[in-house]
Amino acid sequence: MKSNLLKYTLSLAFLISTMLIAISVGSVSVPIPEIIKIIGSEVFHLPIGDGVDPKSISIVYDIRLPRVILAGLVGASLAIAGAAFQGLLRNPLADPYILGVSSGASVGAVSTLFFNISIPFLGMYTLPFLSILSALATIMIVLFFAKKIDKTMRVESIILTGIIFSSFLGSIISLIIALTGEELQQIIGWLLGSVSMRGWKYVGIILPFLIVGGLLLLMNTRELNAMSFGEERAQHLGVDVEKRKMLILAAGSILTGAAVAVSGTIGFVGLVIPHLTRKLWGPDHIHLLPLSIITGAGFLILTDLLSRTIISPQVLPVGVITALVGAPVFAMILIKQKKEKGR
Amino acid sequence: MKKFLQVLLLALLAGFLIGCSNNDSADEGAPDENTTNEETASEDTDGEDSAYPLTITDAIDNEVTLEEEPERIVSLMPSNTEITFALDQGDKVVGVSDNDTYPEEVLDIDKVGGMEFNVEVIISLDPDVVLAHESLVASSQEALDQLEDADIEVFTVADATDVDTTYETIENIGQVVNAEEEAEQLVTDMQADFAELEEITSEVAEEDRQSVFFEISPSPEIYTAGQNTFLDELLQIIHADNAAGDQEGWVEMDPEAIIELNPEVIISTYGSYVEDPIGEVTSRDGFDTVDAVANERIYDVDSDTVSRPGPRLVDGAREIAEAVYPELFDEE
Repeated sequence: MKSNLLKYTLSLAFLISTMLIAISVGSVSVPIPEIIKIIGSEVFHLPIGDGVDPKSISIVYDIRLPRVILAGLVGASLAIAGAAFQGLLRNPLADPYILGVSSGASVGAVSTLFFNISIPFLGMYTLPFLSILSALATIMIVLFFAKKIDKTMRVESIILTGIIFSSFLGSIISLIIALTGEELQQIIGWLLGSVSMRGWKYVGIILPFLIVGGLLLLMNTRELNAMSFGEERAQHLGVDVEKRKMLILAAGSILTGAAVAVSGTIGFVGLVIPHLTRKLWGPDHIHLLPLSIITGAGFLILTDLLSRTIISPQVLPVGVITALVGAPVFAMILIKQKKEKGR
Repeated sequence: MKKFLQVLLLALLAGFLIGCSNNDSADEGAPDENTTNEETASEDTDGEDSAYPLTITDAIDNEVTLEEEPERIVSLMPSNTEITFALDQGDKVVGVSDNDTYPEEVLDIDKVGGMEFNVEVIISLDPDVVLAHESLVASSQEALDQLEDADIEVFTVADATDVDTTYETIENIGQVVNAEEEAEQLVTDMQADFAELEEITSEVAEEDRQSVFFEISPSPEIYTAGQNTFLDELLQIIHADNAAGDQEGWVEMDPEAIIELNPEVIISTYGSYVEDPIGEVTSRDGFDTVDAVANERIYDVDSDTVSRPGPRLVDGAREIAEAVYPELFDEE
């Protein structure tokens, strides 16, 4: 048993160091003291002093900082949702997209691009708005449907319902792609996922969902532990399984829906970060969930940094990097652990 | 299922990227080939008006034999259509691609498909020749083979990525549609128009040269045109600098890098499907320090005129020139 202090210290150190590097490094490198000056002047209205290029201020405060924070929030949302779903469904292949929520959010976003919808007073926020709306609608329909076909909502029924809805909504997306013309690049770019050029407003959009969804899940960590022994055992341990299950599914889906709405479908984070965290720090959900938040945030910040620096000033889709970096890291941890067990 | 979708998307994207990069690499390799084709082609027909049966070698080294002057033409690429119309042979065009929009007459012509061609429709149109395109060979080889199996002559036009190659494709199409004189005239006119633009803009002093940043797609995935693109070449002709001139081909740019490049003019080409392209640029966080935004020098040009290797490239170049150096054109 590794001490809890160590787990959190190391995870936070990872998150903070990736954040600092990600804010400092980019197409234009800005030294950390200058960053502190810029943030000080923009947030606390301190005098900035001479020698700071206004372009650097724009780049750091308007573009890079919101980007890094958004990446962190999206990574955190996907990772904790994935950890909760894997625990609840007792299925190592579960990811936040398993209930079809991401497909739902994608249908909303892709339709917005395809039909060129713009709701007057929402303007450019029409897309995340409609995306979250269709994600929430999908959650409700999926849960309603799962409940309808199986009152006790067994794990298999939930997964099956999710898969059916995912493929149905996925085919709608494919249909739109097949029909699309000039917006094709926009649509594919969105589906590949990105946290670029979202700005502070998008940070504001996802934050409340992360707080609500995250708190709901963190309040259910003991129940997740109990349910990992099987639902019957959990029932005997005094857990209201059905109610908790609904609550956890809804909270996880809200997190996923909000994450997809602001950044598109970024794969791999929600699947692998919980596994990685579990392998490193143990399966206890009381610590697994908060540690997944921290690791997920750090991981997506890091991969986004790579996506915009590897071939700078060009950029790569972040979803490509998450799997490209994540898979080997995960494989290494699996092998290392196997060796340790063998001794 | 999710996986399937992702794979599909990646495949699509890969196709898109490969498509783009293919164009670039084709460009590098193509000129020699094209010129040789051109030579062999013109040798056959030197002197007189195309004598039938006429054999022409196309961009993929296929020998295309026309028994007589083609009366029914199907064009699989908007640029082919535009060239054919510019050669006054538009009345012979009986089928065009879904992407065709110019000239207006094409809207009434039968459509034969966009990314994938409907071979049955093409055959039913009973064309004497199909004007295919080098860029379609990779994606639609099977469809083109089927056309040839149906004894339809398929002439593959080279994928031009610079103005000189465009002239060659015009001359090639001129041969196929039996309008060589018109083709020569068209090329001469285009050369004259480009020369005029170059002449007008040559007055720009070295220190007044503007740096221009092209945006092919809107935020957040801002694609731009680097070297070896029409847009880059058009800028060279009108004595302006490409802010992204260090890049190669079509690339997605980091927004931070655009701010750092600090272009004096931004020209977007997505006005046809984005409602307010200029507002799209000015409303971006952090872009207010960019000269082009601060000085309100953002323009949108018709993407077709600057991307289709056809007669309207001149119009595109002129539109860009007037946007970049309005003072030079006011005087006229």
